[in-house]
Amino acid sequence: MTENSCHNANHTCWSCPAVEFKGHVDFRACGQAAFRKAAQGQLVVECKRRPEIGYFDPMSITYETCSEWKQTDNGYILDGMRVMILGMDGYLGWPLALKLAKLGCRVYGIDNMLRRKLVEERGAQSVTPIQSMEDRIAAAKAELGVDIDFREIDLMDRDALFAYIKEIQPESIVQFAEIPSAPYSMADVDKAVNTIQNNVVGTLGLLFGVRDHAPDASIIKLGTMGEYGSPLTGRPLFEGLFPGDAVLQYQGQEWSLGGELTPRDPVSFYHVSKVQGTFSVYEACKYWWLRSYDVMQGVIYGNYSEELAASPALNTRFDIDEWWGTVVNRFVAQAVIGMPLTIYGSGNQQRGYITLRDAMQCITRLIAAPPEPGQYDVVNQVTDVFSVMQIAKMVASIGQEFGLDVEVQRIENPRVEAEEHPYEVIHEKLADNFGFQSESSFAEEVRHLFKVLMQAENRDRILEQRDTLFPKTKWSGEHGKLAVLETWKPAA
Amino acid sequence: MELRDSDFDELVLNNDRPVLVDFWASWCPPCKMMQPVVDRLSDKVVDWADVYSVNIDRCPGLAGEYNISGVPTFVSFADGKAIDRKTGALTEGQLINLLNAAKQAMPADADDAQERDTLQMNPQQLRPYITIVSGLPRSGTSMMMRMLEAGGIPALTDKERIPDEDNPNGYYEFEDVKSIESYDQWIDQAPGSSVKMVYSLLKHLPIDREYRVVFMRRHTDEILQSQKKMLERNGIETDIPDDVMKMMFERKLNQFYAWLPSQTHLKLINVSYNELLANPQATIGQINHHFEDTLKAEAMQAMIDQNLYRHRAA
Repeated sequence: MTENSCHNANHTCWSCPAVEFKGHVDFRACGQAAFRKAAQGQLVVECKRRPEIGYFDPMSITYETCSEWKQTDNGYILDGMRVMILGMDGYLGWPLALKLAKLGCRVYGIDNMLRRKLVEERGAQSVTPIQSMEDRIAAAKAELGVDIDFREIDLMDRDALFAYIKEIQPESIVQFAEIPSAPYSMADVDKAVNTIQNNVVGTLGLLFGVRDHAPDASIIKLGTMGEYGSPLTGRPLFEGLFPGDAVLQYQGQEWSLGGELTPRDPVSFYHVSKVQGTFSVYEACKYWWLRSYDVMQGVIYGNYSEELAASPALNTRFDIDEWWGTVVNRFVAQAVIGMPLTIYGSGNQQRGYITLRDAMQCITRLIAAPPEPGQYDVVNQVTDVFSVMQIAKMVASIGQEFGLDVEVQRIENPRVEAEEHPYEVIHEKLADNFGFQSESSFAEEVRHLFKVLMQAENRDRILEQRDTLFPKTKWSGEHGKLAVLETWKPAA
Repeated sequence: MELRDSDFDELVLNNDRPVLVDFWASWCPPCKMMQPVVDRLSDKVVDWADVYSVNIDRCPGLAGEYNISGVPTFVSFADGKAIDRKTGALTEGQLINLLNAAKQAMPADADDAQERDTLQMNPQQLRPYITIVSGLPRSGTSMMMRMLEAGGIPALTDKERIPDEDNPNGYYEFEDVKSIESYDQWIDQAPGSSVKMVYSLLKHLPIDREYRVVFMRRHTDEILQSQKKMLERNGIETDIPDDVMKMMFERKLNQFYAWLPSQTHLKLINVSYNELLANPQATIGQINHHFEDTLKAEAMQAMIDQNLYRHRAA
């Protein structure tokens, strides 16, 4: 066990979701304007799991000394922690369910199975075949010996959602139940409205449900690095909030910007929905003393996790089409079927990236170290920054190791975005405060993908959706085929 | 350094240097982000000022007393009085300005005057309150009694429990204290002196007097070990498992700390036995501060008998 894995050893009952605050509690004041009356006595808590201890000072017991928190490779975890994953059928939701269940959490999930439908409507499919939820859960039991509870519930069906939250009393809630595609949100009005409605209204509704039925649960909200945009001034992309020593100078005066939300500059209506989600969660923490980590995740890729590897019956979905696939995954699929890797515009657009495996570790560590009551915090979940051109070259070169003849192609950019821009991402909190250490590298992950995608049946499933790989959706609203600018074969 | 209600008088109001207090809350993003700035400032001004933080949810009484209606609020103090304040995240320059205001408001030559008075007064004039040494068993309470005695506070003791292997220098116990529930006549002779008392009895102290409590703490594992050895030597066997003992200990202690903040007649300082042995000078400095710097620190330090630390946890 490394020192890092115990990042939360000294956290106390103050941030444990299993305690109830007693006595003088005036949390809704938010320090904004409320007048605090002089109060007698100090704040005490009662442990919901061990009421026999009585009332006590929440700062007096640490996770390390508490019998309910167990040490794992991801830090101390509340034994049998009840975690509810919204969007459990998705690319991230399913591997997270497996990982947490294996760590001894009690996992509950909902999904409306919309992603399967939308991908199908697009004429695409998951490259690696995925089972029905019923079969997945049976396979998790058979292969990993874990129990996972699932209800087919739409996030927008608030009655059903709230009833489930009330029944389970989750100690952590992971909000993955959003429509995650920028190009889909830009395709037409129905898809834009669908995205905004599900993501914005769905998340807003959830917050009321948490307030009323599980106010001590930590909310792990998935955001995206795309919320920040890529400022041309080169201002660093801080982790959601300005650091304490950031200062605004104007006309000879200065003000601290410490702790204020940094500017957001979303790059599609999907990203607009994510920014709105950020503000909704931020406000809910302020109004109702909820607590949340908002995860600004880089572009995710790969399909490996220890639990997924146990059996093909446990596969998570793996999309590669223009709308539902992400760039690295799509490039590998293109390389496997001999299609040029399509770069939009100059290819100098830089973004933050992270593997599925590392992302799962990050989320797990966030769940294991809940925020303090009322605390809203943001992490940038990124391990590397690459330009699209760099990625194409790296994928092409790894493809050559597998005997593939890989071409790269620049096409007219379907998006409206800066193609030349500075990009400095601050990503320190996960490592410094949560003990995150990357367990994967770009090359390893991409090699693993080539191995999986080159299997004959998977290759066939890529070929079947070949038409969906080349982009058609233009941000500008114009129609027509995108022109190919140049095609070449990178040197080995 | 985060303060609790019980430290505030001692470290802020009775401080003879300018003090900056950061009233904050864990749910407040600007407060969180200001922490590294405040820590850095604390290092920068270490020679002439002290910087503390108070969590307004953990110390609602203090937040109320100082009318904290927004966080972070920074308040500077001089000579026990709030001098200047500002709410919202601040730049380092703005924070230093608050401290400078306090510095200017400090009374002149306070140090010299106090020192002169100290030398001329007898213990009871100097410390009209009753000093209580309490805390967990086997946490160096006897040693603290001896130290305070050396430092200038006479001990109220009848030497009834004779020294033995477990406390070779004597127990410093006062038999009357054990019947405090029914008999508190001894109280009249106690001001200016120190008395050793188990902490469960503190709640029976008459509330119309003023007490300074030195509360001894020690790592629970070490206490259990030390206590076990003592029982063994006396031929007493116990079958209570260590973790159950530990739990009982902590529970009692938690109840005590939950009760404590509302007891305005008790001014308490926590002293870690482990810390006292590891950093005697600094710890004695804090204890001395608790008694308005009226104690003889060097004499106290001489009383720390390293040999006593026999039951050190592995």
